[in-house]
Amino acid sequence: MSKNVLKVENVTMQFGGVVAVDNLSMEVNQGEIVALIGPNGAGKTTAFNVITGVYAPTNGLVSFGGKPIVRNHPQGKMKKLYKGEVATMYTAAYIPDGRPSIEDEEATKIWNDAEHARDPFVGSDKVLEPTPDKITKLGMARTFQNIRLWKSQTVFTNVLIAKHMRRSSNLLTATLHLNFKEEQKQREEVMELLRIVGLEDVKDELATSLPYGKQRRLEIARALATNPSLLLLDEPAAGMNPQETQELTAFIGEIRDKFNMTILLIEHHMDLVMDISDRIYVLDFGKLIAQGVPAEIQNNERVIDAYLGVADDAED
Amino acid sequence: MKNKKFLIVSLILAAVCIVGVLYVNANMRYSMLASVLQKGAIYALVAVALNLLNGFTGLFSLGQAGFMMLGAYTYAILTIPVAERIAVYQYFDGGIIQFCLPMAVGLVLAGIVPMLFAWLIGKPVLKLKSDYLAIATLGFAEIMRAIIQWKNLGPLTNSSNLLKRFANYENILFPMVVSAVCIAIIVLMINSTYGRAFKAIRDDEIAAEAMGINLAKHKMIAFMTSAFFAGIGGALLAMFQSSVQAAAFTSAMTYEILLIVVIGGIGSVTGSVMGAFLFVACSEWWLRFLDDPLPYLGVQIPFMRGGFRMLVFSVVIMVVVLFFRKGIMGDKELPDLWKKRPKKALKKASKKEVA
Amino acid sequence: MHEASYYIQLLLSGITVGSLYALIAIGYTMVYGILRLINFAHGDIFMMAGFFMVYLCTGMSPLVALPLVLIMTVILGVLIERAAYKPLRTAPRMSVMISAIGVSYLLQNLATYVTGGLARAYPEIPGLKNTIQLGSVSVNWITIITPVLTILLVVVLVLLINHTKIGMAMRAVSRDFETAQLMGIKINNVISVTFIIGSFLAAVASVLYFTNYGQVSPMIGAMPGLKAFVAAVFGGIGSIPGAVIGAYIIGVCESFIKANETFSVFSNAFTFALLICVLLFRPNGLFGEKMTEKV
Repeated sequence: MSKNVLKVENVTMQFGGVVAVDNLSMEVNQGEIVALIGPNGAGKTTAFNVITGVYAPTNGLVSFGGKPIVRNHPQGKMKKLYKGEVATMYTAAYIPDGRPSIEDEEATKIWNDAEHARDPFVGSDKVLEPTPDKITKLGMARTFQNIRLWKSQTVFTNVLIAKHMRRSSNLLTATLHLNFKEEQKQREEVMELLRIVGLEDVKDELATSLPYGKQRRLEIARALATNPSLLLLDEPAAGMNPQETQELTAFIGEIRDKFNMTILLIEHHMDLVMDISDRIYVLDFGKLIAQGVPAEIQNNERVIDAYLGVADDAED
Repeated sequence: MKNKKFLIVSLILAAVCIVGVLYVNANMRYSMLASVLQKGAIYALVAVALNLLNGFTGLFSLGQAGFMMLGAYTYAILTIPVAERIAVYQYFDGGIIQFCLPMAVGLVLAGIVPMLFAWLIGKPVLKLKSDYLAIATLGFAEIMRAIIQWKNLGPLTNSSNLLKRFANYENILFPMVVSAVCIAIIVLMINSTYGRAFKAIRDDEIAAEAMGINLAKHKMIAFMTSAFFAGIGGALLAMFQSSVQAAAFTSAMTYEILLIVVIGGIGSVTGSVMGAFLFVACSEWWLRFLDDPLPYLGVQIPFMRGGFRMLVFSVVIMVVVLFFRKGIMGDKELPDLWKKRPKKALKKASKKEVA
Repeated sequence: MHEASYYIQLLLSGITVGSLYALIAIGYTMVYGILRLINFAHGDIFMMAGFFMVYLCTGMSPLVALPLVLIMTVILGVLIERAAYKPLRTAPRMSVMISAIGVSYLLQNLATYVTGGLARAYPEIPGLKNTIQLGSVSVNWITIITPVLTILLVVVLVLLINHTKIGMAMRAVSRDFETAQLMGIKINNVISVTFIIGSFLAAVASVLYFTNYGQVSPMIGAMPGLKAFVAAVFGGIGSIPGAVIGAYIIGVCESFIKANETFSVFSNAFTFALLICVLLFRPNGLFGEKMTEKV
C-alpha cells in the first residue's frame, strides 16, 4: 500500500447546536486523487476548513504525513452541547475498548505501539489548533470555492507572494534587497509555474481581469507555488460550463502527473469526479454515508437517495 | 528607450528639487517656504508611515498621533542639556533624568520607544477587525496622552508643561534628509517580499493566511515599523517647533494625517508625500489669506475671517473623499505614470476568449 | 473621609452623565448595527444641536426653540447620511469611515468659523436648574429628569423596534443587509429612520447636557461622542439595552474618577482602557452576538 498522506479521524465540527460535520474519518494516500462529494450543505467545505486550520474542530484528530496537526476535544460550554460521538477519545479520560489484559505484556506492547502510531498524544488532553499558515507550511495548500485572488496584484505577483513563505531572507535583508539571488530564483520558479499552467502570456494582467476559468487556474498555480505535497481543491469547477470542466479535468490530471501531487477535492460536477478520482467519500448531513471507487459510488443506493431525495420527495 | 527617458526626467526633477532646497537653505531660511518645506517633510514621513498601515497592510489605525507623541517626548526628555533641566522642569526640581544623550542617539530612541509600545499594544489589538482596531488605537493614543500629563509622572515628563531647550538642528536640510532616508527605507520595504505579503493581507486576509503568511507576525511588523517612523517624525516635529506639549497630539492630529493620506491616495507613497506638502502649504501659507478680515484688492469680503480657511479646507477634503476617492495618485506611484502598459491589447484578447 | 451624601451626589451626577451617554450611544449602536459604520460625526451632531439652541434663543424663548432644535438636528443627521454616506454605500468600509471623520472635521470647523472658536453660554430653560433638597442631598431638576426621560425614551424605542413594521425592517436590515434588500425592504428608508432616531436622541441629550454644563464650544462633541461609542461597544454593538447599561457604568465610574484628585486626569483615558479590555476579553461586548466570517 502506498504511503498515507492525510488522515482524518473522528472529526466533528459543531457550531452551537448544529453539527456540520459528524464523526468524519477519511484517508488520502500518496499520489491519489480523492474526492469528497455530497449535496449542498453536507459539510464538505467545513471539513475542508477543519483540515486547513480555518476552524478548530470540536472533536477529532487530523494527521498529515503521519504527524498529528490538528487535535481537539469538546471544551467549556461545548462539553454539554456536544452531540457527536467519542467525546473522550482525545482526552486524558480516554478508556479504549479492545485493550488486551495487562498480564499479556507482549500484546499490550503491540497494542500500545499501535495506539501511539495512530495518535502520539493518546491519553492526553493535548490540543493542537495551528493557524492556517502553519498548516500550509507543512505542505498542504488549498484553493477556495469563491475565488480569493489578491485583486490589486498581477497574475505574476499573485503567484510570487505565495513564495513568500519559503523565503530564507529576514526583514532586514529583504528590505535592503540583499536577498536578490533568492528573489531572482523565486521569480524564475514562478515563471516556470506560469508556463506549466498556461498563464505565461497574461502574467502582467491584474488577476481579477482574467476570465473565470483562468482565475481558477491561477488559484491552483498559486497553491502550487507554496510547494505542497497535498493539494486541496474546493469546488474547482464551480460555475464552469461542460467544456471548461473538461479542460479542468485534464488539467488536474496533468498536475498530478507533473508534480507527483496528491489531491483532495470537493466537487459537484459528477463527470469530473467520476473521471479523475481514484476514490470517493460521500457526505450527507455531515455524516459519511459511502466511500469507495467511482464505480461503487455510482451504484450506491444511499448516495442516489441523498442526491435525488427519497421517494416521497420525488413525487411532487 | 522608455526607461532611459524616465531616468532622465526623474534625474532632472530630483536635481531641480535639490537645487531649490539648497537655494532656500542658503538665502531664505526664515521664509514661509522654508518652514513649509521642513514641516511638509516631517508630515510626509508620518503620512507615509500611516499609509504603510492603512494603505499597504489594510490595518485601519488611528494611533499615529500617540506614537508621534511618544517619539517627541522620548527625544525631548533625553536630549535636554543637564544644565537646562532645572529651568525646564521648574516645578519638579529639574526632573529625575540627569543626563543628556547625543542628538543621533535620541533620534533613534525616539523611534524605538514607540516601536516597543506598538509591540505591547499590538499583541492584543491587532487581532481586532477593521473599525474596532481603529477605535482601540485611537483610545490607546488618548490613554498615552493622559499618562504623560499625569502629575505623578511630572519628574519624567514635566506633566502638562512644555518641554523645551532640547538639542536641535541648525541646518533646515536636516529634517528633510532624515525624512527622505526614512521614506526610502519604507519604500524599500514595500517593494520587498514583505511588502508584497502586506499587500496580500490587505487584499484578502484569508487567502494570505492560507498561502502561508503568518498574519499576526506580518501585521505586527507593519505596525511596529509604522510606529518607529511615526516616532522619528514626532521627534523631528518637536525639533521643528523647538518645544513639545502633550496637549497638541490629539486625535485631531491623527485625523489630519489620515486626511493627507486620503488626499494623496491610499496605497501610494508618492501620493502621501505630495499630499503632505500640499496640505502643509495650504494650511500654513497659501490659504492663510482666507482667515484675513482685511480688505483684499480693495474689497472687503464679508465672510473671510478667522476659521474660514479651515472650513474651506474641510469642504475640499469632503469633496476629495466623496468624488475623488482615489486622491491624487490612487494606488499608483509617480514612476507608474511614465510606464505605458500594453494592457489594452491583452484585454481584448481575453475578452474574445470569454466570448 | 467624606460623608455619605458626598458619594450620593457623585453617584447621582454619574447617573446623569451616564444617561446622556446612553442617549448618544443609541445613535452609534443603531447606525453601526445597520451600516457597520462608526459614525464619527455623531458627537458633532450633538454639538451642533447645542449651537442651534444658542442661536435660536437669540430670537425666541427657549421653550419655542426646543422643538425647532429637535427638528433641525434630525434634518442635519439625515442630510449628513444622504450627502456623505449614501454615495459610498458600495465602497469599502474604510472609505465610509474616512468620510465620517471628514464630516466630523467639517462640522467642527464650521462651528469654529461661525462662533469664532469661542464657547457660547447655553440658554437657560426655565425651571430645569431649580434645586430641591432630598434629605441631606441637594439636586437640581435636571439630575432627576435626565435618567427618567432617558429610560422612558429607551423603553419607547425598544417597543418601536420590537413591535412596529419599521422596527421589524430595522432588525432585518441589521441581520443581513443584502437579503433584507432582496426581500423588498426599502433600505434607504430604514437608514433614514435610523438617523432620525439617532439624531433626535442626540438633540435631547444636548439639551440636557448643555443645560447642566452651561456652555457650548465647537470641540465639545468629540469626547462625549467617543465615550458614548465606547459605551455602545461595551454593551455589545447593535444592542440597545447593552448600550444603555454600558453608558451608565461609564458615567458612574467617570464621576468617581473625576472626584479623585490624583487620578482625575485619567477620566477620559479610563473609558478607553475599559474599551481595550472589553475588546480583548469580550470582543462582542456584554450583550453582543458572535459573528463568524464565512470562508
